[in-house]
Amino acid sequence: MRRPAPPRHPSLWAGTLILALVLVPAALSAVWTPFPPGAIDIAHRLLSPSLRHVLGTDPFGRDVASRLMVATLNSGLVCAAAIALGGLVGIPLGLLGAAPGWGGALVMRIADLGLAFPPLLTAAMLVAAEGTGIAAEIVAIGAFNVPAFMRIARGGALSVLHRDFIAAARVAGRGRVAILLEHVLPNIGAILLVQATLALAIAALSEAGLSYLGLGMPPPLPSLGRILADDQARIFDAPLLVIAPGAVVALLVLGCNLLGDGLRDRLDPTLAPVR
Amino acid sequence: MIRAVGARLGGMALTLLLGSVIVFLLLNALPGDPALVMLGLDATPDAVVRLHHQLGLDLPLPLRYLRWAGGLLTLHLGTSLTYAVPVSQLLADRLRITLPLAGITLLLSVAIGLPVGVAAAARQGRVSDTAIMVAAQLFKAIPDFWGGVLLILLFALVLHWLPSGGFPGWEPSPLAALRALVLPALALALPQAAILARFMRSATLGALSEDFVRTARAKGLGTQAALWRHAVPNALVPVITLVGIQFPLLLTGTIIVETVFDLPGLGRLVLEAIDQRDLPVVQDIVLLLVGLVVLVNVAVDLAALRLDPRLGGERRA
Amino acid sequence: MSVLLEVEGLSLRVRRGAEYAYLLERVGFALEVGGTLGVVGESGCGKSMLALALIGLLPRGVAASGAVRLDGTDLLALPERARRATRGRRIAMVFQEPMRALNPTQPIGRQVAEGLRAQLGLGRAEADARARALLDRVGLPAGVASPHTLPHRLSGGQRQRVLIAIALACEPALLIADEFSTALDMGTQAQVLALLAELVAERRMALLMITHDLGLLAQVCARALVLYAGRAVEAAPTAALFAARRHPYTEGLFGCSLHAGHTAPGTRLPTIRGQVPPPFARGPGCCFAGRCGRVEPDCLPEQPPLHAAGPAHRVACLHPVVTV
Repeated sequence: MRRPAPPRHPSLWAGTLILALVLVPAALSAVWTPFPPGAIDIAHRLLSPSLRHVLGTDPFGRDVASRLMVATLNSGLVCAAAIALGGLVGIPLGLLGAAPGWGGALVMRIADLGLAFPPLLTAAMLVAAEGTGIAAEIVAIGAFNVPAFMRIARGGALSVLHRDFIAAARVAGRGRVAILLEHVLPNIGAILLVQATLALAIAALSEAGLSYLGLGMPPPLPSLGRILADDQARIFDAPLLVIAPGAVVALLVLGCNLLGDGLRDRLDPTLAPVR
Repeated sequence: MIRAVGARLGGMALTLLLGSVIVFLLLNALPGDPALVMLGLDATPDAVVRLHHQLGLDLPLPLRYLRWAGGLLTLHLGTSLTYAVPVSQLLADRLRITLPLAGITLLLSVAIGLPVGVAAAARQGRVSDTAIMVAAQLFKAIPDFWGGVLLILLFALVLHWLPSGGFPGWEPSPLAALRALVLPALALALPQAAILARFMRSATLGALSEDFVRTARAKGLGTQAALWRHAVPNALVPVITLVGIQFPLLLTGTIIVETVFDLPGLGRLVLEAIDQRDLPVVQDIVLLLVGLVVLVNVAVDLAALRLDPRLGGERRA
Repeated sequence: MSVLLEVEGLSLRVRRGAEYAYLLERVGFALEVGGTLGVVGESGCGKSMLALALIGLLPRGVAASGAVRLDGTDLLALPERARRATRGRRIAMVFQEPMRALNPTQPIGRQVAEGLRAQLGLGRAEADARARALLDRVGLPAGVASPHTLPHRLSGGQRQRVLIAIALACEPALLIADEFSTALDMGTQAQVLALLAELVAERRMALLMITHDLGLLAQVCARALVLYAGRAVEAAPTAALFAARRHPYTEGLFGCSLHAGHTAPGTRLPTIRGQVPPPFARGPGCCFAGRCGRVEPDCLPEQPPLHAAGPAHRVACLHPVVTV
């Protein structure tokens, strides 16, 4: 008798589970939180975790769990928007770069440039010029993601474009754009999905860092980084206030990384770690 | 080789030029008047005009760019609006903390990440390999500032081994200054080391499966000699490129960690400048950091080229 | 002539879950000092695994049983330390892909000298001098390539010469060449082959050549061993084999290759239909039965043993080909 095979993509399942653990309460916060996240209640400040306040209360008596749920949703939405921006700009540019001639050089130059502007620097400039704002944060994180999407789209397009079915489509009289949309995109979809998942992990780290520094979304929107920054001085008497928001970021990043690795193994076995 | 070096230096100059235009436009062409911000909304029109002239804001945009870029080329940076001292002097002070911090972090992450990655590859499939990889996956997920806070909690508040923050300056005792940099560097280096370890493991496994490793074994080399003399040098090529890709995030990580540990470095300076709308300082610091990133990437490219001369001619993918 | 290498009942086994499969099954042959043997067969027959088993570099998960005696010592019974001492020193190997078998980040001189230092304990200067001399001997004199040259500067043929120099460095008694030079073009192939044959003869080395190229076999090897699906199906002096094949598989192999040059236009080139059965899909009977035109019911229950079919000619077939 054959033994039952071990799960083939453990990191896929672990990643999905961890993300669900973090994102389901976050999504729930759009319609329901245990307490109003902004409700100040000085009489009940700095409570320890209890059945009523699962993660206790902060120095203003606000329910930590409720605030973390909302903050996770806010951070998650900003990251998703930033990745979408990176993809929407990067993928068409990459496909354009697959055109013969100067395309390759252009893509490399833009990629070098994008790599030289990590989110924090872009955010620093935008905030200095315009003040904090959600749009500034999304642009800052999104711009850093353009090069990766561009390279993948270009590489994928180059490897697909010289295959036989493309020539067939061309002979059949399909236009350039139609070929790109109908044949190239579906073929690089899997690797783009993997890239988006892994980029989401880095975006979550960047978002947390920006809001920790006060360069992210403006108050009073709760965000994971700023909750930690606000309560950092409480590390002596209420360490949970500092540990909890960081742990949520770490779980978010861990979940995305595991999911991304798992997806890569599953969708593209040739990219799996050697043997 | 010389041609490759020239091509990369040329590319670097072009990237810096485009980068400086982007920095300049973002900080100067967006709507909003820094003079109004600095003087407050109740400023007299007269005062605004005078400040415009003082800042050179009354000149046309291209001319302002040329003045700024020309100043950079001759190492004449602007003057800080809030401190009224040359930006170069501010930078020199702050870099004495930020550069050592970034350097120590880079060394630490390489010194931890590479050996751990090779060790995991050499134990591929065993329990210790899995344990290393799981630990790396966890460390990779830790945000710098949170790791910093946790390190403070452990090493400063519980164990009392290292200071929890602040910087005593280099002069009284370089050792005390270094001690103040240990925790910040560790907070930054651990996640980077985790990323490097995972990448080094897969690069080493890839190299170990190459035919030339079998050739080396067939000569009579042991597994260790084949690993270190043949597989590792080849695995280093892609890993060095990764170090370059990670560097921008490492550099901005120092800015975050400086805040956590209350270190008066470049990060603090730029955050203060943003608060004060001190645009010349922001502009110069951002371009300096962009330049550092570009420079490190060229250095990394050249190092990879030296390790693997086959890369000559074509650029990294 | 005295026997140098004696392989007896060599089996290589792999495990998948609870199943076992044999990559090689009870293969045996002998090679005398200075002798030449060619091992032929399609890909997937276990030729390369045989080579790796002889030099002791089997991939993890492949278990060897039987005996591989070199000068009477069973190598399979040696601990890894002692086994390592034979590599390069007593048995050396030239690998098949000259483009990939050299370390791209290391100068060729160092790659040749490395074995000398590891196995003969030479100092750097002496090893370098010997490496220089070896490169000269394989046709890479100072004008063509210096010891400091990196492999990517060399052509395929030149790299193959470097690989020969590496293998010959410690003057081994047995040289294994796996698909030697098949990655090169015909002209270069002929040159490096001539060089190899010359050096082997000059140093009285035994040569075990693994190949699917019958032309190479005829040119270089005195004896031939035909492997099919991990089993030895025919063994004979090369000349005898060229005169008369007894096993239907060997006949098929020769049919594909020898008549390819002079087939009338319009006729189909002869091929062996089907493919080598993969290790986990091999039944109890003759492993070639599924593809054999001469198959009879008695081929199926068990594997036919090797038996004599002429002077020094052995075949594992119940219904061998009879040439007229």
